[in-house]
This record gives sequence, structure tokens and C-alpha cells, in this order.
Amino acid sequence: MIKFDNVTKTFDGFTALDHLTLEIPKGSAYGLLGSNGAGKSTMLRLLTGVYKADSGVVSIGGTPVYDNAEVKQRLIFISDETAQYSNMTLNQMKKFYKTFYPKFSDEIFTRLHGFLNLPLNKKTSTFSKGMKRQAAVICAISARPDYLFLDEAFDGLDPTMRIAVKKMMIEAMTDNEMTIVISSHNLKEVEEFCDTVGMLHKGKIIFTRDLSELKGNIHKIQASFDTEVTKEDFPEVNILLIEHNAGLTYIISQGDADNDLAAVKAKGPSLCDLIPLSLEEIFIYEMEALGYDKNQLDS
Amino acid sequence: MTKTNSTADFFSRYLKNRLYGRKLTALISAALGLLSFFMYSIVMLNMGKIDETDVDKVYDASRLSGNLYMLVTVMFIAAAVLTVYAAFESFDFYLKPHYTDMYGSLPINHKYRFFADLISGYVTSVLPFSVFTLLSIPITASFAKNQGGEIYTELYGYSVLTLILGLTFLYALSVLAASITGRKLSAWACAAIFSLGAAFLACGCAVFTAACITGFKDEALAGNMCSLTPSIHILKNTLDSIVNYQPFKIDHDVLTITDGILNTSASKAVNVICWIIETAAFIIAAYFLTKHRKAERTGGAFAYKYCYHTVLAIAILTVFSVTATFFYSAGAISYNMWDMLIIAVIISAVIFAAFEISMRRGWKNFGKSSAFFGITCGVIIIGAAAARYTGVFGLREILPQVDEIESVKLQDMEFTDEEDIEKFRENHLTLLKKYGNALSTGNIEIEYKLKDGKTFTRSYQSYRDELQLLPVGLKGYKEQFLNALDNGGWIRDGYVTLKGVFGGARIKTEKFGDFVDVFLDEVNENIGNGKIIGNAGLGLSPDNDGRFARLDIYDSYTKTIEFAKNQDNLIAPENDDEIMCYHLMCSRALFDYRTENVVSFYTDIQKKDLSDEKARELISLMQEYEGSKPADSSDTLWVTCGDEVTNLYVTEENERRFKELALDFINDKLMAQADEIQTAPN
Repeated sequence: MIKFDNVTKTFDGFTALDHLTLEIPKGSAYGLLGSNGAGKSTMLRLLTGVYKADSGVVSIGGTPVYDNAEVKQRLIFISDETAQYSNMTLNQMKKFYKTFYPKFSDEIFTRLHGFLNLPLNKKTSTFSKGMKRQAAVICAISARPDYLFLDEAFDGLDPTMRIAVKKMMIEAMTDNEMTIVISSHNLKEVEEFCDTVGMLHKGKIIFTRDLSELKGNIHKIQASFDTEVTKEDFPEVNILLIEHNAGLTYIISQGDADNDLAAVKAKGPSLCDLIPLSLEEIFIYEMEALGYDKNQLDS
Repeated sequence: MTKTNSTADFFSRYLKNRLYGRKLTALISAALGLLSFFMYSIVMLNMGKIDETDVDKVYDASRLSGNLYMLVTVMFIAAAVLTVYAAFESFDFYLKPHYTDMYGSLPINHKYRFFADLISGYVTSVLPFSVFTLLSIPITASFAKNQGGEIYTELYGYSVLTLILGLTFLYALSVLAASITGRKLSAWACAAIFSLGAAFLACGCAVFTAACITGFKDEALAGNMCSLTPSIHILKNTLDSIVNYQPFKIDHDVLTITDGILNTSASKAVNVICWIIETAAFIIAAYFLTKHRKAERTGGAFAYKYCYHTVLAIAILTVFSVTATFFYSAGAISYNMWDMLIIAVIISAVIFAAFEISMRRGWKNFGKSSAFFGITCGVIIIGAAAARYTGVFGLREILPQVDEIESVKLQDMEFTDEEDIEKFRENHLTLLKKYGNALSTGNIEIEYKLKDGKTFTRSYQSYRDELQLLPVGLKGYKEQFLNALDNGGWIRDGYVTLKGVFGGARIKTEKFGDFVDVFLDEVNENIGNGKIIGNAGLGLSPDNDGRFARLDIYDSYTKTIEFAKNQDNLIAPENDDEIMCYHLMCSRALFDYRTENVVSFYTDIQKKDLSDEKARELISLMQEYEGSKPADSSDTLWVTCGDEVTNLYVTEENERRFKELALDFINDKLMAQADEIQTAPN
């Protein structure tokens, strides 16, 4: 269990995390969403003991993380920075990881390296951003940690490599029962990975949802009416949003999809369909339902 | 079951990793050490050729020691650069411009990370160099043991030990610099500034030690803030202290272990202790600063908000000191505290402004820093002035109490009688009060041995004659005086000068004992009674270039005067053929005892107010020169003349006439001066 207990972190007067309380169950794949500056990277750095919280406690398995080598040997952080390895070759990185992570597997390293084929004896400072990220992923997965934290994990990777890296991670999650926390501002990336997502905004968790529940709970109905309809026309439907565009009405509702569709059809539209929602749309509607303005969230 | 590592495992693994990563540094350090070892050995082999009785034959001891110092300096500089580099390399991740210290995510806590980095840097830089250089000690000892004491002590170990301690100190200092900075350039600048700041700290420690009366000798005093008593020495001696960290100075002043590695004198031990304390303090400070360093504050010039101002304050103080010292040393300004302070403030302000502008911190910050600069300068000025006018806050006048003192020693004379000790201490305090700030530190040492085994030492340079008079009148003076002459290798011989007798007359060697009996008995009984009518220079150095003591003769010393007027007791020049050398001093007397029959001439004669015909002719026979002495000048008529007319010489063709005139002139002038001899001060 990963736990943030009333954690606050400020940087020179700027509050990055504001009395954050959150629990992430062991074995889950948690997607941390939020716009730039929402506090995602700060959360991960507190989780991995890079930063020390100004107040509150960040713990894993009930033990505080900061300055605790016993806990940190079970976790790996792949950050958007790889500066600590810049003067190392991939081989040296491997040795370095082996120094710290007792479960490091040479076999996995060889297999993953064979797949990505990165230079072993060239300093990583000469690597491209994507290659650096691949190198970090290879070493991290080979170390077989109990907890893997990725900050903007797929930045700099081309589409082919994204697929390859994702595949590696999914395999590692399956094989090692790893808890993984991924931060991203890209919903599509976490959608493929995560079973739970949390939305972070201005240093606070706005909500945490099970992804399948979230996806199944919100629907978009496209219909065509002769006259303009409003929320009040569908009292039995929990409508989050109703929009009119080019003669079509779009109803975003929360609840049972079949019941909602039936309720709309009962009003006699000339056209009525249930259309799929992207995770991004689901989030936007969810947020708006919670009273957040879409434009505010983008800022 | 999950395999886990203990904290100790992480430490050892991380350390191993760091050591392995620094193998190139270790190799360079070892190579430098090896080079040092071979160079020492080569010098040692050459030492076997030295014949100190004939210094022209090969080369003399001082030249050899000069070569050694050169060698030590070169090796020290190379090793020092490597040491600082290694320190920054060990803590390199702090000094890289990046967003966050990602080492925080690794499974090693701050404490073990710090010590692993600390050890790996030291082991790969200072240690290899030290080990290989240390090999030279047994070789040094084996080759040097048959040579003169000077070479032996200089070569036997302490320079090597100095190197190791110095490098360790420098390493600790660099680690401290790395712990507060975020860029390599800042770290290098900080290391330089801290080394200067450390000099201040060393001075502070030395002063503190002095205050505690733990044994304090001239070498230690010379380079620290005690010396600011006479004037603005805080500035000059700051530079001295800084220079003391270089091998040349370390060997001589700071860390000289004169009698071998294990036998350290108190003053040297004080400096070693100061150094060790500083080194430990730097490491402890670095540890805490590193531990509490925020991972998010990386990539900037300084990791801590107030570091900039702290470093700036040290920098201002340093620039201030160096500037003032430079102007003082260059003679560009007078020996005046306020002149120096004003110039130092102006120069420091210019450098400070340039520094601030180069940092591009904006006008708002410039304003804040300017205020800080002003406050720092103000504190320096107030501190310097306060120390100047209070005798280092009263420290200058602190002497042990009589009941604490077991004995007191001055110039090889030691007094143990309680009455003598009390009187000596009283005289010492009177002297301190009389001359105050003008009593500068120097090579005349007064040592109080205390009953608790400690030693309290003060040393002075100015007012030599009066310092020598401190024990005169004590019951044990005569006995101690004669013992000191014998023990110090002085010749039992002397001169007596009475009014009307120019240059003094030498006492016949066989009569010296009788003279001392008469004279010192009267000194003890009548010192200060009556008028001074002459003086006696007692005890000569073997090469006749100095006197052990010069004591005044009062007109109440009737037996002494009678003795000195009796030609049977004296050797005096009878004709000009015996005059081998003249010193024509305008403002003060200098003695030249290069020959047995010296006549020294000192008077107020100057060109501008010559009224005497003989004097004018005498002067006209002398030629002025600039630079080195002309080839045709006579060595036997080597003449120096006062402050305004200096560097005169007499050519061979004028030599005879010069001698005749000089003798006449001397006699005339002396008779005229005889009645002008001053009375003794109360």
C-alpha cells in the first residue's frame, strides 16, 4: 500500500502539493493524470524519496520512504531526467543498478537489451532522449522492483518504441506483480496500462476512479430532435452535460447505459445512438460534473 | 522470500562503485606520488656529494633545501589541484546543472552516500599520493642522517607530513565547498575563498590558544591576529596566514616539526591542532549541509539561500585584506591604519561591484548585496580599530600571575627566584604599557614556564635594548648572564663606550671577567641612578657581527668608569693605519666588526648642514652611486651614510686623505657631542 497522509510540499512559496491524502493499493497500476504543474512529478519524487515532504508522511507498506534505503531498494523511479547516468555506459548502468537492487536479473537485461539493441559501451550522455529512456527502462525492469514509478514515461519515444516499451512493462507487471504508478498528461497512455486513475489539479487529488468503472459509468448519446431539448426533459437520466451541434444533440450521462438510452428514445428522436467515449472525454465530463471548468483544467 | 540488502551492504557496494569509477584519478595521484618519491630520491643521492665545510665545491645546504622546497611546491600544487578536482568529482552530482538530485531515489541514505563519496574521493586522490611520497621518508632518513642538522631536519619527514596534512585539509575544504554549491565553477571559487577564510579561522584558533596560555611561540604569533597590535597587521598577517598554507611557508612557519616527526614544539603542535580542528569542522559542516540540502535546489550557483552572502562576506574580507596588504607591502601608502582602510574599502567596492554585475542578479539584489557589503566593511573596520586600540582586546597585556610562574627566560637567561620573577614581570608590564602598540612581535622571546607545566611565550622585535634591560637588576642576573654567554657560544669579550671615546674601546680579553664583575655588580646596585654617560656591549658572537647585550653606563657606576678609563684594560686604536673601515651613519649607529680594530663612526653629519671644513672635504671624497657598488671602490673604506645621503664609497686614490680627515673629524665631533648624551629615562 502506497500512502500519502496529508502531505504538503512547497517550492519557494509555490504549493506543489496541498495536504494531499491518497492510497494506492499494492499490485495496482495507477495512472496519475493532470496538466503541467499539477504536482504529478512532485508526487512521484516524494514517493521515491527524492524530495522530503514539508509536512505529512509518504509511506510504502507503512514505512516512510524518505532516506530509507530498506524501502527504496524495492522501488525504482524512471524520471524524465536521466542526468545521474549521463557519464555512464549502459554496461556501467547495469553494474550500478546491480549494486543497489538485489533482485537484478542479468537474464532479463540481456533479453531486453537484445530487443532494443542499444550500445552497451557508449556513454549515455551521447544517447538521444528516447535511447536514454529505453536504457533506463531496461535497467529498471531488469532490477525487478516491487514498485515502479514512471514520470512521463513515454516522452521522447517514437511510436514503435512506445509499443515495445509498453510491452516490456506489461510483461514485467504480470511476471513480478509489480505496483506501477505512471504520471502523464496524456490519457491515452495511461488508458492502456492502468486499472486506476487519479486526477491531480493544483496539488490536490480531485478524484480517484477505477478505470473500467469509470468507462462503464459515463455514456454519450447522440440524438436528433425536432425541437431543442434540455436536461429537464429527461428527469430520470443523470445528465452531466447536454450539447447541441449541427442539429444534433449530445447527451453525456452517468448511470446505466441501457436505461439512459431508453429514456432518450422515449422522447421520439429521429436518430438515437450510443456512441463510445474516449477516456479523455470521460475525464473532462467527470471534472465538469465536479464543478471544474474545462478551460480551468487546461490551464 | 525477497532478497534484501542491509544498510551496510548498500554503503560498501556504493563505495566500491564510486572507487571503481575513480580509478583514473587514483592512478594519476599514484603517479604523482611516485614522481615525488623519485624526485626526492634523486635529491637525496645528490646530497651525498655535499661538503658543508667547502660550500663552493658542490652546492651548499641552503641551495639544496631551496631545491627541495621548489620540488615540494611543484608536487604540492599538482597534488592540490588533483585533490580539489577529486573532491568535486566525488560530489559531482551536486555540481551538475540539472533539475533534481535523482540520487535521492536510490536505496542509499544521505549519511552513507556522503561518507562513501567522501571516502572514495580521498582514497583516490590524497591517499595514493601520500603513500608513494611517504616512501621517501626512510630514504631521506638514510641519506640525510650524516649531513648537517639543517638538511636533516628539513628533509626528514616534516615536509612530507605537511603535504599529507595540507592535502587532507584542502580536501575537506573542497568537500565543504561542494556541499553548498550547485556548479563546478562556484565550487572552485568557493574552495579558493574558503581557503582564505580558513586562514582567518586558524588565526582565531591561535589567538584563542594564546589566551588560554597553552604555549605560544613567535612563529605562531607572526602569522596571526595577535600581530595586529602594532598597527594594521590584521591585514598583512591575513596574507601571511594565507601564504602559510603553501609548502614554503608551511615548512617554516606553520607546520615545521623541527626535531623530527614525533617531536613537535608547542607552537607547531598548536598549528597542527588548529589544522586538524579545521579539517574536522569542515567535514562535519559538509555532512550536515549535504544531508539537509534540498534535492530540488540543484543547478544553481548555491544550494543554500544564504550561502551567497556568506561566501560574499568572506570574499569581501579577503579582497579587503589582500588589497590593503598589497598596498602596504608595495609601500604605496603610509604605515597608517586609516589610509589603508580607506584604500581597501575603495578597491574592495570596485571588485565587489564587478563581481555582482558579472553574477547578473539584478539591481534589486545588487542593492541588498551592497548593504551587506557596507555592513561587512563596517564590521571589519570596527574590528580592526578595536583590536588596534585595545591591544587585541587586552590580550597583549595579559601575563601570568607571579604565583603561577615557575621560571622566566629571556635570551638563554632563566630566573627562578620568586623575587626575581616578580620584578621581571613588573618590568615586562611596564614595557608593555610604555610602548603599547609600537611593541611589535619579533625574535626576542620571553618565556614564562608555568607551574602547571604549560609555557607562556611572548616575543618582540622593537626596543631591543630595553628588552635586554628587563632582567638587569635581578639578583640572579650576573650568574645567568655569564651562563648564557657560555651556553650560547658567545665570546666573553666586549666594548665600552664612554663620552669622549669614539666608537668605544675594546676590553682586553683577559680583563673581561674583571670588568663584568665590577660592571654587573654596579648595575644591580645602581641601575637608573644618575646620567647615562656611555654603554657597554658585552659578549660577542664568534664572527663579531653582533653583541649579546648592550647595557647603559650611568655616572653613578664609579668603579666601572674607573675601569673603563684605565688604558691597561683596553685595546684602543692608536693611529690611522689601524683604521680599516668606517661607517658613516647619519641617523643611527650600525656596527661593523669585520676586523678586530674597527672604528665605527656615527654622527648627524649630513650634506645640507655641513659647516665644518673638514667634514665638507670628507664628504667630497665620497662618491654616490646607484645600484651595485663600483668596481674601483675600496672594500676597506666602505662607507654608508644615513637616510638622505646613502650608498657612498671612497675610491682608492682618495683613501689616504679620507683616513686622515676622518680621524680628525671623528675626534672633533665626539668632543662636541660628549656633553649632549642624554639622561636615562625614569
